[in-house]
Amino acid sequence: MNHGNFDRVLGAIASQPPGLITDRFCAAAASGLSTPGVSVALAGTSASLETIFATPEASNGDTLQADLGEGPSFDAHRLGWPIIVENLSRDSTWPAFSRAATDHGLRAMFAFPLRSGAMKLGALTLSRPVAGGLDPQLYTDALIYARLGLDLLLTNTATDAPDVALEQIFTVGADSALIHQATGMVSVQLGAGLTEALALLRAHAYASNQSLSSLAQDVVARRTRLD
Amino acid sequence: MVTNPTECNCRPEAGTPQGFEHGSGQASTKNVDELLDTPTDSLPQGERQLLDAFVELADTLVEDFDLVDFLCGLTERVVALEIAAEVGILLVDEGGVLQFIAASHERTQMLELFQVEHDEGPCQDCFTTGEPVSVPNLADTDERWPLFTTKALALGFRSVQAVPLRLRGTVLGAMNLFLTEPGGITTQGLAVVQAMADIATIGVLQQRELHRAHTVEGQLQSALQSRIGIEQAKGIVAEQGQMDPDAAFDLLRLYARTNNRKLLDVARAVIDGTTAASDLTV
Repeated sequence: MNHGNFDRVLGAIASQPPGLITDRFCAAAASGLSTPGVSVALAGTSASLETIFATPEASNGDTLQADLGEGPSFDAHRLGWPIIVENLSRDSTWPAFSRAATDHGLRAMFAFPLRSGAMKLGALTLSRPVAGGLDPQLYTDALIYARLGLDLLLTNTATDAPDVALEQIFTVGADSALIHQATGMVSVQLGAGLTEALALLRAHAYASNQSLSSLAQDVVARRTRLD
Repeated sequence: MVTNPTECNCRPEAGTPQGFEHGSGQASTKNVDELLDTPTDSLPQGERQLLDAFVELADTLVEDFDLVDFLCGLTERVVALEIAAEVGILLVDEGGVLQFIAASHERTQMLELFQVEHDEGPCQDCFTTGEPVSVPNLADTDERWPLFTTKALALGFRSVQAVPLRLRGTVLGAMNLFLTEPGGITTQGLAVVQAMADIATIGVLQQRELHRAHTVEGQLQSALQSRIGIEQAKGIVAEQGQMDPDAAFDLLRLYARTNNRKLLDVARAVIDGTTAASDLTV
C-alpha cells in the first residue's frame, strides 16, 4: 500500500539520532515543520492540558496557556479542529494569552487536535518566533505529526518500552475501520472508555507480537476477547 | 428487536424533512428520457431522485447537516436511479491514502477497503489519474487488477465505474459504482454520476462546523473523523447487542432517521453511554 506522506514523515523521525522516541519525534517535527516549539499535551480531568513531551522552545507557550487558562492548544483540543494563528501580536481571540506570548517572543502558533473519532486526547502545538502561516505541504505534514503524536501518547500509556519499533508505535493502514470497531467492542467488554480500550488493544497486539489490524480483525470476528 | 438491514437502505420517501412531493411524473418525461437513457416507466422516479438530491444539497447550505448520513443518502440515490447495485465513496486522508466514508450498503466498505489495502483497482486508478475509470466487463480485466477482479467477481459484480471527487485541480477522493450486470453505464448515466460526485464534494466542503479549519485538507480530515466516530459507535452497539458491525450501523441509521436525529449525534450518545443498543428501538 502506498503511504507516501506517512513514509516521508516516518523517515524523518527514523533519521533522527538514537534516543527516546518522543525526543526524536519532537526533533523531526521541529526541523521538518520549521517550528522550534513542538509540544504534545494530554487532556487531564480538568479543562487544562498537561505537556507530556516537548522541545524547550515550547515551554513558554505551554506554561502561559496553563497559567491563563486559554490559548490555541486548548481550543484545538476542545473544538476538535486545527487552530492556525499566523500572528499572535494581532490576535484578539485570547487577549491575555496573546499579549503574554508576544511578550515572550512568540509570533505564530499552530495547534492540532489529537483525536480519533469521539476520542479527544489533547493537542500537538507548534510555535515560531516569526509571524507567518504554514504552507500547504507543511500543513499536511503537521496533520500527520498530530496523528503520530496520538499514537505516541497511546503507546506511552500502554507500554513502557522506549525502544519499540516505529512500525509498532505508528499504525497506519487501510484496516482502520476494523480498529475503530474493535475499539468500541473492547470498551464494552472492559466497561472502559475508548482511549483505554484502544491503548489496551495496542498493548495486547504488541505483547502477542501481532499487528493491530490483525488483532482488530480477530476481535470484530469474535475470535478474541480482551476481558 | 430485530432489524432488517435491507430496510435501512430504502430511503423513506414520504414524510421526509424535505417534504418534496412529486407530482404525477408525466410532465417532463421526454426530456429526462433523453437525459438518463433509461426505460420510460422508471423516469418519474429517476427524475424525482435527482431533484431530491439537489434539494437536499441546497438544504445543507442553510442548515446543520450530518455529512456521513448525507453521503450515504447520496449513494442510495444513485442506487435508486438504477445506475448501479452498490455505490461507495472514499476520501483521501492526510497521508494521501484513500479512506472509506460512506456507501449505499455497509458491505460495500469491504470491497472499497480491499482496493486500498492492495493498492489496485478502478478506484485507485481513478483517484491517481483524476479521470473516470469504466470497466464494462470485469471478466475481461484479469490482468489489470488481478486481486480486485477476483474479489469483485466473487461478490457477484460484473461491471465497475469509478468517478473522481474533484475540486478544481485537486482530487479529493472517488465514487465507485458496482453493477451486477456487464455492460457498464451509459454516457448519460456517467454524466449524472459525475454530477452526484460533485455534489458529494460540495457536501464535504460545506460542513458548517469547519469554518475555522482553514483548508480543504482540514475539512477532509474532519469528515473522516466523523466516520471514525461512527465506526467506534458501531463497535459498541455490535458488542452490546451481540450483532455484527454492519447490522449495528443499519440499526444506528434507522434509529436516527426514524427519530429525526443526526446519525453523528446518535453515535455520540452511544459513545458517551447515554444511549445503549437496547434503546435503539424504532
